[in-house]
Formats: sequence, structure tokens, C-alpha cells
Amino acid sequence: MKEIFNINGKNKKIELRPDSTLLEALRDNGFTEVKNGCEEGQCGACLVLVDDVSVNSCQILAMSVKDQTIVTSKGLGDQHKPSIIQEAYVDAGAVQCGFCTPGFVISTYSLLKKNPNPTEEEIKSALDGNLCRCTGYIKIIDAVKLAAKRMNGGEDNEK
Amino acid sequence: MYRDDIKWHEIKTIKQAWELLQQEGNVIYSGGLGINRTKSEKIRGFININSLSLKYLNFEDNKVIAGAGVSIAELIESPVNKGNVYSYICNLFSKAASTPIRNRMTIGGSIVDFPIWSDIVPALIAVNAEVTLFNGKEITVNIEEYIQKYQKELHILLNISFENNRDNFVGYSNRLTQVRFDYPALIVNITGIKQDISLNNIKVVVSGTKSKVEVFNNMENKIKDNFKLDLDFIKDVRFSADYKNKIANVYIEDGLKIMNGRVK
Repeated sequence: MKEIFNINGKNKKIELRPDSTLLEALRDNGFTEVKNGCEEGQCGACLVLVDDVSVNSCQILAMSVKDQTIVTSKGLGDQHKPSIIQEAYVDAGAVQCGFCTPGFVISTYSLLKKNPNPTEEEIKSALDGNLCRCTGYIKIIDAVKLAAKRMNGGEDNEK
Repeated sequence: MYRDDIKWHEIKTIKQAWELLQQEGNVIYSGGLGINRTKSEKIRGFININSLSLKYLNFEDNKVIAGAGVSIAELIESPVNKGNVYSYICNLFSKAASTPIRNRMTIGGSIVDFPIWSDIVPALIAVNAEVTLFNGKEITVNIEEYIQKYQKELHILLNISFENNRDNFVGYSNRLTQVRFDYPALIVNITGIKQDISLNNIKVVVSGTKSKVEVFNNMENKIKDNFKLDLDFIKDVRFSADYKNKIANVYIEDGLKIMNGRVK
């Protein structure tokens, strides 16, 4: 079946099955920046924004969000025009293999939208749905702090 | 795996949803997390209730009323001035799963599904929450009655409600996990009323047992020296049933001491 979804600000006709997860529907239609990690809602590699809220796309059937807006990490920015968050991840050295990064970027966006000046504990708590198996978490937390600092106009965000 | 010919039913009213629900193989789809765990072949159609107006949070006469479609995150993050019971609920709910899962998990789905590792149902039992459902007619029942009588029957959950604030309310909770983001092997929730030096209306809720949850009311009349509950737990790969029983009793003892103010 073919259905129109609003993905990264554009209406796009995508092919899917009635039981396709949002992860499958996105990846099968070229949105491969959404990663397939565990398919159990544990690793966060597949995170996307549905109506601006971060969710595990592997746990949702695509048809249930047909009339909502979907944003992937590429919808926040790409290599030609990266977002402040994506640049902060690169600058902080928070990307190693990069598989988990799109999910972390989505969680970071979600956190900073609600809380532009998070404490380290708040950052750890907001990233509780993301797993990284190679970088380690210190540089990722540094990246979130750096993104917050830059989004706040360079002010020191340490509490 | 799901069937190939599965259908999506977009509905506008509770009545439409109820009519479809009575047809074999149709299930309610809200957040979808519980359904996704089973991917049952028996499912022939999803009744998408996201278009119904079940995503509301109302505050009336010291009551918090949450529509079934409200996510756990929305309930926790509501900017209203929270009373002591609502704060207790938010603290317990914030331990469930992870941030993106809580963003999707609905209060209704969490109650209808009620897995053994649920953080949601034991918390609501501890504060005597009520459930409003539709099963041909709209009824409101205590959540314990709902679990015993209505949960396994066909119904559409409409909302839950609980007190916002209770005078002299005290609460305790602890959960047994291996790491922070883990399914709890057991949860002990205790609530009570602290007046001067006495603790009354003590309610102990223990989840993770063979019957999923056990509830003990008015425990102030039963707790004596060397008091122990004999709880029938399931053995799992992490913990033996006997170990869980011992830990649950330690949590209860600690909880009562903390609530009594003997431990800060």
C-alpha cells in the first residue's frame, strides 16, 4: 500500500505494509539515517520525532502516525547544513562508529527544547533511552553540554 | 507475526470503537507498545483510537483526571502545582522504562496491558485510583476491582483518576532491578497517613508475584515485631523466588521505618 506521510517537512508518498513499523517504513523508503539497532525499544538508535516528541520508531506501527509530522535526525540538519547539536557531537568527539548518533541527536534535541540549560544529571536522565557501545558516554555528555552552551549564545551552562 | 491482511479502522466515536471491538480479532491501538510485543496472528484489525479525545489532563476538586491517551511523560511533565499524591505518582512513573518509551506509553495502555513488570498499575493501586471504562455503558470502578473483574473483558478504558493531595500523606517505593533501565523483578509501594507519631491507613502493594500484584490494607493492625509477609514470587533468570521474598520484606521494613520518620 502507498500512503502520504509528512517526513522532515515534506509530504512524501511511501510504500509500506499495514503492519510496518515506523522504522521499517522509513528505512524501506530511503530514510536510512534511522538506524535499526535492537527492535525492542531498548537502544534508541531508531529514535525519531513524532509531532516533536522523541519515540522509538521500532515500537510504533507506521500507520498509527500517518497524520502526524515525523522528523529524523537528517530533518534537523545534514552534512551540508548541520544543526548546532550535530556540530557539537562532531566537535566534542562524541561520534565513533556513528551508529547510535542519530538517536542521541534526537534525544538531545528533545532535551534542549524542554530544558535549554540542563545539569549533568538531567542530561544523563534524558539519554536513558540511548545506548552507545563504543564511544562511551563522557564525550556524548560533553557534546550535549556544548550544544546547550552554543544554543544559549555561548554562555557557560554549568550549574 | 501479524497477518498480511490486517486492517486499520479509523474511528470518530467511542461507540464506533466499541462496535468494532466486539468483532473477532479487532484490538484497540493507542501507543502500540503492548501490541508490538506480541505481534499476534490473531489480530485482524487495529482500532486506532488516537483520533478520539482521550488526551486530556483535568484537575477538579482535588482530583487528577487523565484521559487514557495521555502519555506517561505528559502526566509527569504537566506544569500544574502538584499535590503530595500526584508527586508520589510522578516519582514512581518516572522510573518506568526510558524517556522515549514514556513519551509513547499511554496511561490507558499501561493499565489495560498490565505486564508483571508494570511500574504504573502498582503505583495507581497504592493511591486508590479509579478507572472509568466503556463496556456498553460508562462505569467508574476502583483500580483493584478493575483488575479483578474488568481487565480481561472487552472494554475501552476512558480515563483514570486519583487524589491530587491528601492531608498527612506519606509514601515509599522501591524496586528490584539489576541496572537503572531494567524491568523490575518486584516493586514495593507503601502509602499511609502520618499523624503525630502514628502511621495509619497503611497500604502495602507488592508486584512481581505469581498473581502479579498483592495488596495489603490497614497494615498498622498487623505489623508486629519480626513481622514478615510470605509472598509467592516467580523465579526468573536474575533472582530466585526466595530471594525476592526476602528483599520485598526488607523493602517493607525499610519503608515503614522511613515513613515513621525513624530513618531520614
